[in-house]
Amino acid sequence: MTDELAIETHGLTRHYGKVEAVRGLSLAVERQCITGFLGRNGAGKSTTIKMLLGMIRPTAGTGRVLGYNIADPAQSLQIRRRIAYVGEDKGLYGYMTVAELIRFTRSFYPDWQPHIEARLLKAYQLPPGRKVKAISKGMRTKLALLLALARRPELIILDEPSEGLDPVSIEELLQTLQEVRAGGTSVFFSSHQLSEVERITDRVLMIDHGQLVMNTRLGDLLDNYRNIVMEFGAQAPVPTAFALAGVERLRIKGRQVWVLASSNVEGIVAHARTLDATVQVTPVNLRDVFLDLVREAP
Amino acid sequence: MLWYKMWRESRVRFAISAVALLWMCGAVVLLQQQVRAHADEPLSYVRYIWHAVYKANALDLYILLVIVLGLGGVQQEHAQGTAGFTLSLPLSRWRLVATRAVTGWVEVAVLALLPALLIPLLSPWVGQTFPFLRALQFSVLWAGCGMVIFALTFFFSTVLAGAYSPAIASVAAVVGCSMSAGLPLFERFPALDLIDTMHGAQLLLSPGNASLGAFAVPLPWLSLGLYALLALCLTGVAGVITARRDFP
Repeated sequence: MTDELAIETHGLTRHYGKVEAVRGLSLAVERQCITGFLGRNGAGKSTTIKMLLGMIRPTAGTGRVLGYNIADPAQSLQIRRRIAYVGEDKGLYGYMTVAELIRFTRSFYPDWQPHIEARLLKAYQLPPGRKVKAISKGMRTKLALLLALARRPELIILDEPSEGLDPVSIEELLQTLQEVRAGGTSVFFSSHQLSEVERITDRVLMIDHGQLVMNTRLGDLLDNYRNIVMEFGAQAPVPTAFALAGVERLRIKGRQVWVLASSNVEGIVAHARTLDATVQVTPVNLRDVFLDLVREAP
Repeated sequence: MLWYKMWRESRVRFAISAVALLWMCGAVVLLQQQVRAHADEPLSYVRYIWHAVYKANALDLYILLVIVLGLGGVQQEHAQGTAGFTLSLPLSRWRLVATRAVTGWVEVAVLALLPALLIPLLSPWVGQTFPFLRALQFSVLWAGCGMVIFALTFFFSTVLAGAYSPAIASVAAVVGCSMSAGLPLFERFPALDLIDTMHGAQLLLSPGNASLGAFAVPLPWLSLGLYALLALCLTGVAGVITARRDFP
């Protein structure tokens, strides 16, 4: 394992009784990138993030964040000194005022940046004197972001950051994340909002049923992945499998076969034509790939 | 600032507890004439205060208030949805537990001190006196025994989910402890009788003068030491459980 990576896991596994929330997850998150962590609800995203933060112990496997072992309590402390986490529920202390919570959080981070705090307080129009429980969910997300960013973390982990936000707040959030990355901070965020991920991420990790099903640069995905639709005539036999390089997913309905290809498009098309199929190749977007990879087989 | 968080979490409960205890002690003092006039047998003022405050009503209230103060901790935060924020701070879970426990013990001790401040101060208003040092002796008993009751509730708050179950379990444990102290097996070990230790009946027999020896000697140090040890053990177990627990 290397500390050149922001996050690295090998065979990370977490069982809840008989349920396998995360199954042998091996992933690598590069530094100074925005990495989108995609998956359906219950795919294992939050469990993975909580294992990285030391809130849940892995059943098996290893993981490192910024080079520190997630399973070692002392190293986990170092992880939490260097990263920032914005949780899905934005559960902040409702009994404190905005100013009190900022003061409280600031006390744990010697590298706190007062100018970032002041800038974000103004930009987000947060009311310092108001109790946290009295501000809206959007405001709470902004406050959580302020608390995360003012400590100048090396890595910021966000779990469903746009959950419950209005479109304007989502836009501001995405802009903030891009600014953060430009400042040299690595961003790792989970989401099932594909349009957001597609707009800002450099790299996409996709998880389904606790297993990694995709790990690629977004640019590579858009450049290389293709949807190949094959229509077989009445006389031609419809194949039940396509054991060719580059075939990621295959769906068959009647005499039509859909293939999601990550490479070797020409080879797959040529093979289909030898089977007397009419072939149509179309570019994909993240949504197509996501649905193809995580949709249950009919 | 972690102390500040712990204080903020419990300060409303502490303030309500303090007001309730002061109100009850104040009422006991101010109504002394009426109550003592209707007593079955003549009661000295000091004995009346002992009966009403240190043996019965105020003591029961104090125990309940200590149980209320003992509620909280990371498990309870998890139910409220703030554990994720707390656990993402660069703090060990042991530090969270220790800070919460020490904050609670200080609150329990301050609460125990309130009758000692109020009763001697208010007694001259009704033409009576209650020695401050004697009241302080009772406060030491309450604080020492309150520490173990707090630790018990804190322990239950760590192992039991739900807002009320730790309180119910603590009340049951204190009642069970009180009942089992009457069993022949435990009668030979009066030091283990928590409630009897809190009553401090033996203090009424002490001269109650102002010397340090007269203040300290009548106190049941063995019992208080045992309870302090038990409180530390319960807190330690709560710490081990918190450190090892998953917070999904």
